[in-house]
Amino acid sequence: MTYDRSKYKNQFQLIFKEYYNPLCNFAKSILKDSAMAEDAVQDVFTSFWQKNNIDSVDNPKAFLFQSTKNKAFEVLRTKKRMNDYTLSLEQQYGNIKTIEEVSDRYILKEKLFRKIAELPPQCQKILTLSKLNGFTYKEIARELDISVKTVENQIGRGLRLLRVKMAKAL
Amino acid sequence: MNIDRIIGRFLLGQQSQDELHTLEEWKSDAEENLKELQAIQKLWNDSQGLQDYQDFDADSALAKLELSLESSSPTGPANAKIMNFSYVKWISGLAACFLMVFAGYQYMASQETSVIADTKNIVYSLQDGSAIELAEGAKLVISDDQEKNLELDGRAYFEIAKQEDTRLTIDTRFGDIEVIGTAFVVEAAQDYTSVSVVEGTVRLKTSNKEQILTEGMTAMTNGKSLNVKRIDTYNYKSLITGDLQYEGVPLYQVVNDLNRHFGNKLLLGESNSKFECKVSSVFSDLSLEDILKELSLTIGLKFHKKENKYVIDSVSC
Repeated sequence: MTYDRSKYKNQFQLIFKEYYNPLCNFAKSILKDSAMAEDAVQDVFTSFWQKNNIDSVDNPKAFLFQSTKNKAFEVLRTKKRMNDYTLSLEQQYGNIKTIEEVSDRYILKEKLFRKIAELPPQCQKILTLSKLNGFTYKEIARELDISVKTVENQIGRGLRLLRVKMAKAL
Repeated sequence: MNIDRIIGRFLLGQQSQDELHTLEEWKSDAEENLKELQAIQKLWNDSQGLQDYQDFDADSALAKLELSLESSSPTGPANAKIMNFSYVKWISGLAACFLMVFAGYQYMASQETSVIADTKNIVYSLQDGSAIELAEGAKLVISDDQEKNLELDGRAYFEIAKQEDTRLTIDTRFGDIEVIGTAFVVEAAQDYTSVSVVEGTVRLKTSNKEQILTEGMTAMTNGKSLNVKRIDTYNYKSLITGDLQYEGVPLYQVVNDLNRHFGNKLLLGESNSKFECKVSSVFSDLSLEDILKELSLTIGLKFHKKENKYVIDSVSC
């Protein structure tokens, strides 16, 4: 019995650590609020824990993303923040994109996010400003007090490095 | 012409005709170049959706969740008492599985257990929750039921749980190690034994000397002499974590780490190259060849494979 409990807890922790961040970002894309997103994902994992047997969930990734989507829209309804925009968003998620597509997209984002953080400092800074903050090359050059030429060079170099790291991660 | 810069401009469609021509030539030079450019374009497009992507604190969230489940949930799995699980403990949980698959596991005698990492690293856990990761080729013999007397041949990383009564000892060819706690690397080679302490304290005893080693100290002995020096221990955990991190570290030091991590598979060539080039990077669970490929992009490292080893020919940082 002790082994089973310990095994269950290990499994749960591994799943939590793998999916927590992409799930929070997914929830944030619906709720537009980081704190609310974290609360929603905590609720999802609480329910997941109480299922008693993770092995009974065929596809934990799909289960967690589907539960997070449901929870996020439930929060919007409860807080009466459902408006035309969120209604269309719900319709969009309900009709167009399968939960597999959505979850794969967020898992890919998570891997890219983590791998960019592993790049050498200058590449990392420049790719972060470009991809996460949406800066143009000129804005990056001004922000870091370097030439646009250096930015162009570092973007190319950073992406070549990122390709090596992502090839291993995928 | 700098191909990195041309790629950087090409992605925004800002390349000149000359640059486009150079890029076309580069693409046609090798099929690998074409594949690389296609992969880079895909990465560029995939990462468009990263705007506003955030790093939430998963560790704190997990701790908070465990606390709330502990205080409120009689319905948790089998009413399990929530404990703070350390990394070591979940490794311990996985150890049995690892062993079933990868280890040559056999009882040598009624009270003696041998664990051999035949073809890859394996994790073995002791009854007290301690975790031992054996590097490929290492052999561990546990010679008593209480699991307090171990013998090691090869290299291993130890994360030892707090020792209550009897202290754990590890015997090697050239010296015995008494564990006061907690995390350290032992390399018991044919002609020397070395101990590097990442956390806590150990005592190394040879036939004629005794040395207490604390965090950040490494000792090497051949049975006659014993040398002690200070080390940066961060990457000593790599055997367990798979991560190697560098910030402005000279290449020759990185090579030392890689040899420790991968088992002496890397040689510095004989050319008068810049092996003091500084490396800043994070390698997570990469193969040695992937790490060398990455270094070829960052510091212009050139290497070739010779039998089952890699030789670094030159560096152009």
